Amino acid sequence: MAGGPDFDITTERSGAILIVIPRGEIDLATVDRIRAAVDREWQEGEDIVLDLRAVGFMDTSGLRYVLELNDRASRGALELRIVRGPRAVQRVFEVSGLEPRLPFVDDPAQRLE
Amino acid sequence: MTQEERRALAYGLVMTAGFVALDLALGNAAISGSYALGAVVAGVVGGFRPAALVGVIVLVLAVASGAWNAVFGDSGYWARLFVAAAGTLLALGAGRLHDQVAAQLRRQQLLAAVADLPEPGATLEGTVASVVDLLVPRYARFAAIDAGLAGEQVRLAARGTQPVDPATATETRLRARGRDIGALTTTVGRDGIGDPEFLRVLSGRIALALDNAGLSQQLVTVEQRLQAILENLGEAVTVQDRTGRLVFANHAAAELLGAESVEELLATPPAELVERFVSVTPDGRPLDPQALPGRAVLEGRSVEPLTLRTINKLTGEERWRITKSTPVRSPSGDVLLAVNVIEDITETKRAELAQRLLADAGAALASAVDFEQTLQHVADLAVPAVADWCAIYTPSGTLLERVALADGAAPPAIAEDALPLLDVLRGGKPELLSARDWLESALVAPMTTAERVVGVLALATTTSGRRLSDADVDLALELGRRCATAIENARLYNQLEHVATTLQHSLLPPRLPDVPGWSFGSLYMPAGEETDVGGDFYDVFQTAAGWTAVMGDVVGRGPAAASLTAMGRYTLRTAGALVGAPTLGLARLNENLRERGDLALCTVALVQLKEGGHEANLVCAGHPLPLLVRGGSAHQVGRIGPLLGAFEHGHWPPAQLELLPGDVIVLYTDGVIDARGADGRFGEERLQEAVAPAESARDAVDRIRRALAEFAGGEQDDDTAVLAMQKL
Repeated sequence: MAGGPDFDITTERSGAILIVIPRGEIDLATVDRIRAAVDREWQEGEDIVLDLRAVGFMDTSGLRYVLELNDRASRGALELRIVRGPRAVQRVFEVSGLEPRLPFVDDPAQRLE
Repeated sequence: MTQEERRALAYGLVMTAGFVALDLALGNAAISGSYALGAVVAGVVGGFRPAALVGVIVLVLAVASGAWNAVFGDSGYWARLFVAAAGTLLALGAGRLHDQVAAQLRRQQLLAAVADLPEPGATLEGTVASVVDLLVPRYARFAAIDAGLAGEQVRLAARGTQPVDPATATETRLRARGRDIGALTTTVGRDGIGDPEFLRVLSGRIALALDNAGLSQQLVTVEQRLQAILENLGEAVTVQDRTGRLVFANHAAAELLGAESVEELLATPPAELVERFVSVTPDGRPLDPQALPGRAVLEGRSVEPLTLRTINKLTGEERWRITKSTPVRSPSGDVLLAVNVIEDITETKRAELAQRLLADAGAALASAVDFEQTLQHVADLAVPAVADWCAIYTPSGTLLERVALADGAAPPAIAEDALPLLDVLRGGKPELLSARDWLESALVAPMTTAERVVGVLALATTTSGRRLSDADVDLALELGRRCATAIENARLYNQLEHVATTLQHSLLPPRLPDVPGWSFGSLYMPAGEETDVGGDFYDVFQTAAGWTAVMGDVVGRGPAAASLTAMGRYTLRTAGALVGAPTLGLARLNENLRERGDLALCTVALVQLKEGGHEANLVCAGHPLPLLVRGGSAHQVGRIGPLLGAFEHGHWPPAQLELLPGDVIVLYTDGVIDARGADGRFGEERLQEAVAPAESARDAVDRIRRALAEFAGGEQDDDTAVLAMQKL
């Protein structure tokens, strides 16, 4: 059983912001699909929003990808926002000690300071 | 005057002259009455005109004979003159009769000559020319033949002098088989054919001749075309008469049926033709001659096309052919001929067999568990589809070891020593062997991967009489490549499994050390294949500040993760041993991971045990918090610190934990709480529940193992590791 049976990913665009919305479980088996979608859609100079509200589970490989996105955004001086997911997902960020260090928001429209 | 008439005139004159000479010599006046015999002879021999000429001379001589006989005016003279005149009249009658018979004869000759037309193979034009040549100049001054209906005629041929006045010419319609096909125009010549009755008969004959000439020409054309088509047809075509004998065959048939030429094929009895081949049906049964479509059709049976695999007994060449047979029936429905179309489907059939063999072999090889068993399966597939015998060899030391053998129903004696097995293994080139006394043919092909020859595949034919060809070499090479890939994969798999097992063992302590005042229990369940190295590690080691237990988890799997795992374990161990401060070890590991630059991440939970004391220091770096089991309940202890490798700088504050005897500290990786079951993920709560009643380190591990087995059952995505320790 590799990955959730029901995983899909959609992307939206709002101005110069790419919104990535994965649904289902993010693990070793599905994280590459998020990576592929972002690589395909993310255009030069666009800010990016990762909306985790529809994610039911995430393991450390998902965590690693979020860090990867964070690195890419800060290297390109772009803004990354991560919309907080359910408790189970946020717990992974908490345990890893990353919660205070990542740009979480509650609403995709919410700007960071 | 014709030659015949001149001759008759000469005969008459000579005879008359003879009588006159007798008359003069004998002085017998009575002879003059006989002068007319000359005219009679001329009439009988030459017809009316010589008879009339001789008759006039006879009468003149008879009159004149009175002078030299000095009998002018006497009664005898008049009587003799009368006899001569009567004889002359008789001669004229004979002459006319002769002329009529001759004319009749000529008409008969003309009709006979026309009836002989057309000459075999003559064209319509040729036949028309022959007809006018017959008529002119002998029977008509002018003759012309027009084709088509009146009014729309085309002149096909004309001969002689065209009459100035068209009214003097006679036009006769030419009709054949109730059809008006043209007209014959003639002007009557000396030997005239002016009789309308005769002209009608003649024109009928001419019309028939012309019709036949046209028809036969048409037939010739059709036959020539048919012949040309059949000759050029790729398919072999034969025609059998009612006795089964071949009456027609094209070149393709001669070639396919193993004959030197069409003539040789036609001269060979059918039974002998069948004998030239070993013929079997696609399912391998020998051919029943009764099933041959041509025979069935001649016997009035309807029959399906027959597919045969034939082996030429002389050359050993294998061909596949499909024979369809169609009857040619008489108007009454009797079968006169059987037309056989024999299609050579060798290429298609071979390709089909090769594809099937390769597909079956591919499927067998892909599902391989035990590759020797699989190779045996491949050998079984090759017999009898390709050969009568098949063996597969792989190197064993300096020798070749036979790992698979298929020798069909009747094992032929194959002298394997005589096959160039080692040469092919070393050279990597296939070898095709021609007939020896113990085999028909053999083929040894290397089994190659991109890099090397991993074995040898041998095929041989014996009892089937079939001779292996270049097409089989290609097939054997392809089969060899697939076998080689399977062998190589099996070898690599074994190697990888060995490496993985070795590596995995190096990442975990062979056994946990004895630590005074503490007991340990551990569990390690790698996920996935045996060849995959996991990212979880744990260790228990001594430092200057006491014993340290470590549980770590590298994000990711496989060789890259394994190298990080090793780095994590040994960095912590070394740093701990050198400085005795676990947090410095974490900082060091964090730096090492950051230096790699590829976002290598690792989580660690670390417990520093104070020997003899009643406390422990807990440090967590992004790792699930340890559980403390005390008095039948379990709860998380420690403080969360950032995982290693994510940020340049970090701070990992230790948490101090007061311990009571019997307390159990449980370290675990996320593989435990992330374990997937029917109800979702195992989770922290189930873990705490499962471990709460634990009475020892060993018991804690066992409870987690059982709970996981019950919850998740099957194979997991992630490694699972548990390290429990109890203060005694």
